[in-house]
Amino acid sequence: MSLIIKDLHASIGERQILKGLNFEMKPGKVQAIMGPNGSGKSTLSKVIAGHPDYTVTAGEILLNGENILEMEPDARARAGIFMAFQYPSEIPGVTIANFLRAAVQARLPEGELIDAVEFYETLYAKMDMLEMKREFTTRFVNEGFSGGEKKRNEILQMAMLEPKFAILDETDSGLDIDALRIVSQGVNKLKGPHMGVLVITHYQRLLNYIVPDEVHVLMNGRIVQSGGKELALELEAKGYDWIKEDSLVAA
Amino acid sequence: MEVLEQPITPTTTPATPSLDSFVPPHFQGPSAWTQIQKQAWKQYQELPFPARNDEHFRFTNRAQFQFENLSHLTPVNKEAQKQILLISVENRLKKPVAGRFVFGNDQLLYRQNLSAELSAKGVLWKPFSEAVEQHPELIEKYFMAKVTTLGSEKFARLHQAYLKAGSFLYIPKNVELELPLEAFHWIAEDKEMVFPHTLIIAEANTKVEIIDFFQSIHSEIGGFSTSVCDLHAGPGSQVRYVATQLWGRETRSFQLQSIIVDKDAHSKTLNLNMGGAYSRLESKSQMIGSGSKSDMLSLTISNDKQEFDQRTFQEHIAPNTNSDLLFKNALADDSRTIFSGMIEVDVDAQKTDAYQSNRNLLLSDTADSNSMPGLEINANDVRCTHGSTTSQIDDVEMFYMRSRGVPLPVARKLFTLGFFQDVLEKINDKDLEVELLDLIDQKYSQTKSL
Repeated sequence: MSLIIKDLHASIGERQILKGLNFEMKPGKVQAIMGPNGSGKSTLSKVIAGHPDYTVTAGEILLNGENILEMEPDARARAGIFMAFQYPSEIPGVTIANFLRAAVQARLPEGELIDAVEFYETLYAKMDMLEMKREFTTRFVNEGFSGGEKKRNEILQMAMLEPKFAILDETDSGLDIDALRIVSQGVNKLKGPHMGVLVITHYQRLLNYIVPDEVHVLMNGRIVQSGGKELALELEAKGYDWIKEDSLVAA
Repeated sequence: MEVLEQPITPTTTPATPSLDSFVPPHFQGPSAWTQIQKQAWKQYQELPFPARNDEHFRFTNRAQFQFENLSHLTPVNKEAQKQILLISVENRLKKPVAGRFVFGNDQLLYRQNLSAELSAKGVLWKPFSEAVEQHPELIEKYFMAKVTTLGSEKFARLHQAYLKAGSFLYIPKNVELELPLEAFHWIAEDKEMVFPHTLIIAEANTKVEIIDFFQSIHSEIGGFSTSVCDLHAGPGSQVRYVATQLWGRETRSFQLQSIIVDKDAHSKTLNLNMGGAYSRLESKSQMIGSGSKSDMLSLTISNDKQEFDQRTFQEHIAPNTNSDLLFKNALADDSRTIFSGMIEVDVDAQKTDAYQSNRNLLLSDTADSNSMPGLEINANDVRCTHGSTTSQIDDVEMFYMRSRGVPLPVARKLFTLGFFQDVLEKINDKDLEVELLDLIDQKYSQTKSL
């Protein structure tokens, strides 16, 4: 199981954002990508998920050797990729239960119908883990949710869909400390040898709760530095400027 | 959802279509009834065909008016009967009803009469042809007492002249029916015409629900239907009427509804519109007693080249009355919808609270929705709101759903069901909701572009 990003170039409109990014997500590992605003963090997650606004101009993303850039967003998701959104959408009139049911159903072989009892048993167990009340299942997806509820809902979806590779895009944004704790606990319970987790964040704060095995720095559309979890602390203390200078020297 | 500009598309107007199919009907039955029908036939002949510049037919594609080579009262063959009864009766055994009629080509094929208990209370549930013989006084008082004023007067007379099949329901005061009543009207032959009627007379403080199903034996079948629902909600009554329109794809239909709501009564109507090539719905509510309320709900799912032409009227005659209209259309492929609504508040109808809303969800770039909401207020102390929106599925929301692995067609369906959700909630009947969702699901499985 592998997810390998090779020489990825991507743009939105006329603007080139990713400029030859190389990266490998590893099963069983928690990896973090950090970087200043505008470095391409969100672009990376959206390009992996298949957002139609972004154009890939060069490079490839190989999931178990298969280039997923050829695949529709829903096919990528079914192949095992999950992105927790920074700003999850509201879907009026569609309940969380129906939304998740459709997503789980989409992963079953053609002609096979979801077992409703089993589905709800699983759903309730995962909701308990995330300290979500049962009545959430009948609420419309993200409609009127607080920031914390939206992010918990993202993690609930991740828990239900059991991806091979999960990307958390600025999951800490808009969260207070309690919500951050609950969301992080959820991720920590879900992570394991079967799943690779990529945490994309601007701040080190989240990494106190979800401790990464590796930290990578994204700048100007490329990974410019890699290290262990202590790299995050260094960035927190010193900012990003010193890396800029370093990477310029390296280049 | 993003809101789009209202597209205004000119429609071509061909020459007045041929009405040759409508030969004089064969009048029969008691003489008083025959007189009514003969008079109606005369009026039908005298009334002009809707003119090209008739405001009630604005945006209507008149090329859809195809009434050639139609037949009436064609016998239903054994095999067709079997299929009709399978769907209308045998497959529905789990759903308890107070009574049920099944008509095929305007002929009664099956009847489930009321229980002895309800009959003893004076409730009447009869095929229309029996009612004209047994209850002429009720027919005279209530039958098409208020004909439509929304354009199809000529077709209303045609209906009256040809009428054979339908349901007659009378509920004496203070009787509440726990279970709904159902009537099925089937077109069992290509190019057959039918004239289904539903007459509901709910006296004071009664409660009832009645559901009509309009269906064709094959989905590709043609034909012509002019149906009328006459709903009289007496003082303090609660009446719910549901019309499920599932005509075959080549069928043209005119569906006329008159809803009269008396003091403190509450009427709730729901139209589920899915079948037909051209399907016109004219629905008029009249609030004639203080404290009356009419909820007018409609869901349309159009695809292919279907056209749904909807004209509504909320007339507030008495003071302290309330009406709430919500028509929602989800349009796929090259389909069209037309909504023209009017709230009219009479001089005396102070403290009127009226609401009218038409919302359209475009599921393709070539679908076309036309909306003409309207208000006419002659009283000074009222609250009236009306509006329409046309939107498409938001790209961001669509990406979100797909990023969870939901394929595009399923996502579109989920969005549409979400779009319909508030109407389904207003129905407030879980069993009915499940049944309607199932029908919606079937329609979606036939939609090419989804």
